[in-house]
Amino acid sequence: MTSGAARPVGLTTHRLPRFVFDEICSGPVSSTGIAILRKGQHSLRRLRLRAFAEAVQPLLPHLGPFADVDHAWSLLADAERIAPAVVEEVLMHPSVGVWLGRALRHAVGVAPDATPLRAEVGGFHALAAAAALRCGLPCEIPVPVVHGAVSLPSVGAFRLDTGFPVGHAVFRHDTSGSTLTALGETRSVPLDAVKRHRSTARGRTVELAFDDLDPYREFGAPIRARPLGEAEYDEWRKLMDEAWRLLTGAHPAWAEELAAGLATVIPLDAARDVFAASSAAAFGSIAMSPKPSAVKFGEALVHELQHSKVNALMDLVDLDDGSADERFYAPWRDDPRPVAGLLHGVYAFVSVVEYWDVQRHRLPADLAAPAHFSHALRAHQVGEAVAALRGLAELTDLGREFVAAASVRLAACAPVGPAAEPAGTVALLTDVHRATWRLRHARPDRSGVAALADAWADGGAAHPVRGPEIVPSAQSGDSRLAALLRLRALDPRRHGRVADEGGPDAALVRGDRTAAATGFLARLRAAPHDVPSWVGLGLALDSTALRRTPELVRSVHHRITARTGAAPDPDRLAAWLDQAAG
Amino acid sequence: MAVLSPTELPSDLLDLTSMSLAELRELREPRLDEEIRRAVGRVRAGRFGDSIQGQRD
Repeated sequence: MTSGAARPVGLTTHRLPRFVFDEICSGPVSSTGIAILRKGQHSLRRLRLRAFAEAVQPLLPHLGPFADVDHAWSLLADAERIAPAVVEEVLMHPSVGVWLGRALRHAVGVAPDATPLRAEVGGFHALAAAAALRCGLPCEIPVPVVHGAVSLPSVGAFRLDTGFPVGHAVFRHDTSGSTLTALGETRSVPLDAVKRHRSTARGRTVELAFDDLDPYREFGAPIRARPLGEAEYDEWRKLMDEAWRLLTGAHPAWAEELAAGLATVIPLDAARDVFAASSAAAFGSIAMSPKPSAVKFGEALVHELQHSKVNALMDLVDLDDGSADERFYAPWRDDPRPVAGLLHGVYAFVSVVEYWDVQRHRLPADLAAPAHFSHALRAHQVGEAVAALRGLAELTDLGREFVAAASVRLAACAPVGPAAEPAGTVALLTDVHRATWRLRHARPDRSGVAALADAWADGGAAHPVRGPEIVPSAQSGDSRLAALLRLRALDPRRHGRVADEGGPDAALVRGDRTAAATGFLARLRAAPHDVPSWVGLGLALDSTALRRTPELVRSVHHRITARTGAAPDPDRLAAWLDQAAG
Repeated sequence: MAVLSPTELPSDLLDLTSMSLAELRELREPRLDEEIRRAVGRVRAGRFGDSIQGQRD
């Protein structure tokens, strides 16, 4: 390989300027702050690249055409000598972070899935080829063919039409152009170039790529390219431009942050049940489903970039003790989360609250209801999570500052205006979500349940028991009650058409708690394990025990049934446990 | 290592942006070796640094 390491290098560590941390805590970050976060990510990527090059050495005999990793590194280093900024851009392309994480996993023996080792390690050669091509450096290097295409990160994809599956091709690039040789045949293959786009409004520009080609664009195993059709691409660009006008006008600080931090937007299939997503491995990349409006598009951009910021911040400093223990309730998620997940959500959603705090006042009254609802829902959720995070021993001092700052920002967005109805619906929705979550994931203390069942049978008093263990469950968290509540808030006309239909869920949403309780009790007699019925009954009865610890009420109910052979009335049992729930 | 001031927060992350890739490939330096071991150890321990944050429609 090319050697350029004659002089000793004094290694230093990154230092995060205090003002950048303060900026992050208070919301939008300046372009300087984003550059500092990005620089940390650049170091991390280079560290992982070196780790990959070391770890892959024992595998070289198994890598076939990709065994010469040193050649790929030399090519990359030569390209860097010609155009260091270009090579940095290639290295920092979001999908490279995803590929690198997966390649490193292969190299150290914890492969992420069944993707062939050669194809994944060969991604390094594709990275080097991309750098060489972009720097105008002649090269000849084997590259992997994945799903029928050779993909060069930040450049685009060459689709091979061999009519026969191939695992690799040889990429040649010189002043006359690029060719690929596969199955002994050399051809000049047209490039599907990365779709670069630039939106400009009010003198501010954001440059990004709509990535519909890169196999690692969706943050996981390599997938097939899905090039946008012309009309589809026009729609994405139009919405991006509209969102940019909105952001630069109404949210200029978020716009500055996005202009510095946004790198790629990944158009997801409309059929996917995903509003938006991002990855810790792909700084500046935002995947999202098609959006019906610039307002929603802007929300997704603002929200997801917050995750990139938090991920980059956490790579520089510790906000928590690093525990991966997934035992915390996050009001916006159906599954238990680690502390870091809660920090991510609080930070991202307080930004969303701020976004809607502005947006809800910009809409005509007849269109403002969904905005008020989004604002109230996210504010309620963040408030609940902030309360849970406060005082957690797992937080560092910086973590506590981070949470306190989110709390201050939330307080500045206190609901005003016609918020009574959203607030009522939001409180019910979050009660439903929390109770459903507990019934799915909380396992009550068995001895405590047994003691309570004994006390019930003996005519004694209820007493508090030890808290539950959190065990992630794959059980469905779907709730008809939650769906009806959302419908009432977001589409009152349609809700009006279904409000009179039967069933305890509709009765509860109508406010007929007696009918609702009767209906849920009937359901529980037929299906004593039914999660939505326990949740609904808690709300219909306004039972403290059922609302706070529904899993305990259900477990005691089952225990008494098993012990006595007769199921107790759930409403009587809940009232009895309410005495201890205080 | 540089002295930290109250205006800066310390980080364990090595700054590798000021050396070339050629230098990075060749460099034998205990601190770098240690960071590489830590990076590999994190991966082996299941901390892949690739968590996905997503919200459903």
